[in-house]
Amino acid sequence: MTASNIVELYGVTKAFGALTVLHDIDLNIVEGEILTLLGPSGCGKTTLMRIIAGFEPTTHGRVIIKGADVSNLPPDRRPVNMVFQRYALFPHLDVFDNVAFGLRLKKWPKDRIREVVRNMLQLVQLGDYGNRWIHELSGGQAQRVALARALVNSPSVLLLDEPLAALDLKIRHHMLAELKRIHQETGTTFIYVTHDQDEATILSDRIVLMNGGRIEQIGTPEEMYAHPRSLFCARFLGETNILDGAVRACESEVTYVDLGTGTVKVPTNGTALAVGQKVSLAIRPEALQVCRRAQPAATEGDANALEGTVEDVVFMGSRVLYSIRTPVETLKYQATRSVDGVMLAQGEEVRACWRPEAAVLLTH
Amino acid sequence: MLKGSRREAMGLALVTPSFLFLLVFFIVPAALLFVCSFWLAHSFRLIPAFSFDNYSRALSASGFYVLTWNALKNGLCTAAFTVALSFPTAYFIVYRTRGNLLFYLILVSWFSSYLVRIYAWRVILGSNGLINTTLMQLGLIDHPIEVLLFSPFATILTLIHIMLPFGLLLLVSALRDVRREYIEAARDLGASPFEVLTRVMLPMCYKGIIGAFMFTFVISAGDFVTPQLLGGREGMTTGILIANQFRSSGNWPFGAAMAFLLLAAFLLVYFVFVRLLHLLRLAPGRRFHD
Amino acid sequence: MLRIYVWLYVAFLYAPIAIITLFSFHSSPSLTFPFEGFSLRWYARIFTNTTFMDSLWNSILVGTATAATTTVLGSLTALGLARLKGRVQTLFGLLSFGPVALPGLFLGIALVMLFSQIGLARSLFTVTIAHVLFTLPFFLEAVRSRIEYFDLSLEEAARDLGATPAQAFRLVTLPIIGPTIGGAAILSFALSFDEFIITVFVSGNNTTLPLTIWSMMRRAVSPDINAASVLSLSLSIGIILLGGLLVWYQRRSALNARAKDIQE
Repeated sequence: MTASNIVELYGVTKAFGALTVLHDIDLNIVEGEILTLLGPSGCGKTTLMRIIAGFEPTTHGRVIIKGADVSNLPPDRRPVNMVFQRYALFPHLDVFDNVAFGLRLKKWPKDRIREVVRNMLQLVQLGDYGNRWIHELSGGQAQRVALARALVNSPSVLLLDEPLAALDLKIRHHMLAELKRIHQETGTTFIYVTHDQDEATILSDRIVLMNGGRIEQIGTPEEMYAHPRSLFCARFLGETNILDGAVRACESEVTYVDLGTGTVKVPTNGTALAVGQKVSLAIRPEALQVCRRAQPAATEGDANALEGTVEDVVFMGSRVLYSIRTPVETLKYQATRSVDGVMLAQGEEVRACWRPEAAVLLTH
Repeated sequence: MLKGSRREAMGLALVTPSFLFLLVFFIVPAALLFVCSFWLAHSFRLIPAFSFDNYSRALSASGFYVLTWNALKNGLCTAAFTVALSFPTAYFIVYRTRGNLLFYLILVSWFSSYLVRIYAWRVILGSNGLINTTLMQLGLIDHPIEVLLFSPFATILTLIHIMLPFGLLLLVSALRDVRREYIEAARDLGASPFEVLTRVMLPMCYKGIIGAFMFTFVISAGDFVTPQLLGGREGMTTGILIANQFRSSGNWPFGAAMAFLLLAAFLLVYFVFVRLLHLLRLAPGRRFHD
Repeated sequence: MLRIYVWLYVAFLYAPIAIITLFSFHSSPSLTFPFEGFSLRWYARIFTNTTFMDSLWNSILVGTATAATTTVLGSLTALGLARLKGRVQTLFGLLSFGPVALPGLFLGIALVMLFSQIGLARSLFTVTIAHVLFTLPFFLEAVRSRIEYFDLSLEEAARDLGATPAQAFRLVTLPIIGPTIGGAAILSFALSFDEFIITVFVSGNNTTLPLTIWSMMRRAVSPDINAASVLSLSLSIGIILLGGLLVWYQRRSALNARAKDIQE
């Protein structure tokens, strides 16, 4: 056990009858971080969280929280608390009594409960709402009460199960900022489950991307964005262009990939690849440089290039999104609008270039 | 606005036939019965009057209290057992089964004819009945156990049997509102399974529990057929007394007065029961803090 | 553990019924074990018993009249309640609930008082009135969730597309709530078929089936009554199962039709 790991999962496997939803998951969660379990629905992220909370027993594997094996403990005896997707605030209790629920079960003295609950309601900015009934709260307020009710127990880990899914867009952005603030003020470890990549990138210290009951990749949002290790990861986080090709030659630093229309260079991704192997390149839309074909490109020299035609232009305020049809693939290109910048028009003949290190080599 | 009021007018028109029916055959008869409880009867003829004689006659007879206590006892025991026995089954149906087959299987038994079920228990419990003869054939007893039939025990057992499916129906629909999430949230906050029951499930299905308890209570305490057929002499209830006033050429106003006294006793039980749930903190809408 | 308890619970509910059914086929009049052999003689006797057959017919008559009246009153009320809001709806809901919130004894004596005061002779007609009063709350409760779920804007959409109120009802409302109403009508029939407590006060010379069984029970225990009981309960259970199947089948075919639409 490493001192800073608050939750450790070893070989966690979960099967419902013949259906295995989690395959041999190993994962360490560092004290104080916000870790997001990200993935499409059915990827096993919610099941993994419910296993940490104790609602589902594991089929195989161990769950260790703060160095103690809790695999066989029921949820009420684990030092974690959860914010439920639809909050699950008790309708027969008011806000204060909802927040005090856990402390009363621990038989805390009355005055301490009063003090701690009041401080917690202050923290979530609902200081005056103690006497409200649950049905009198707005969605955002209910969300804060759910947070307070879980945090007041000082859990080792706070589990959040798609907590913003029920809120509308505007409140959602506000609540993300609130979650960050509350995380900073309490220093509690957060495990956050979502299928929304924006929430994950805004909030997380680290993202665990899951697919089909397995972990695809773990890393900081920047790492995941800049260096996806699989096609799934490249496609799931942000917009990306995928170009399919075959290995022409593989050197220690550079791999040459034949796209059918020509060969491009890309940094070798660590493993040696056989000549002729099918691979893909992932290039972010903002990593492209596009210029009219008549002009010489600024970073010609070493750059890779594809020629094409501007097919579509979408103006989005500070950004402009282009679709560029090339013989290989229709590329998405994103440019920042600048006051003196030139806008490309539909139908213009262009050349799309990128530096070799702007692309990521992905094997199938 | 105009559309809304037109819709309401249509709604009122549609409920009018039922309203008239209920007015003529429910409200008017109930009022008439109440008025009649102040009348007098003389050699089987009703004499309109305004007299408290019927009430004072009932309340001054010690027998009335005994019979009313018997009725309330039947009702309370039946209601308590019905709710307590059905709650685990309702829990099983709501949280442990997917289809509704088991639920329907139980509900169907509700339609197995009230009288037939009373008759069946008579066959089973009688001194020549199934239990006694079987026990005697097995040599476990020498003489039939007489208290099985014609006793409050037989009445209450049969009433429980009759009320179980209906009580279950009410509890299941109440429990369906307590979504699994609430139970998980309580467990997550440190509640043991028993604390989940007392602090979350029971307060959240408070209305259903009151409904199930009061329905079974009112129907079984007011029932006169089961105690008459199975209760024996000790099992005599106010219900039988009232029914007798109205069937054989009896004293109708006296019967009506006793009926309203019984109703008052029911109301009292309701208030005590609700108060009890509040005191046990099994009712919602109460703050635990100041 | 819990599973075993639940099965015991079900066994407790069905055991008495099973025992009565078993002994209705007993070849000897004895109602105790050992079981001596099967015979249909009690059924043969009951089918030639004119009192029994007459009362069975009366029960079917009353049940049908009750179901028809309750269905008309109840459907109108349910559709009306969907259009009403707030206090009126709550008040009427409470009122219509009244007849089952009181013990049958009260309804029985109140009605007999009314009938005698207005000089209405007790007959199958008064029995039917009592049964409508008793079944109406159950009918409304059975259709309530379905009607609440029914979206009035569907009717308005039909009107907007050019349907008359009658057409909107026939083409939109009825197909949606129809199966539920059919199920509730059958429920009313079954409840009427078994009703005894109120009936005992308001019936005249023509008796219904439960009244006949009651008078058989008050006389010496004869094996006939086993057969009569089993016939009575299998009729009411049969009707309920039929109604359940009907509702289930209609829902399923509606779902299948919808699934087909989506596929195409």
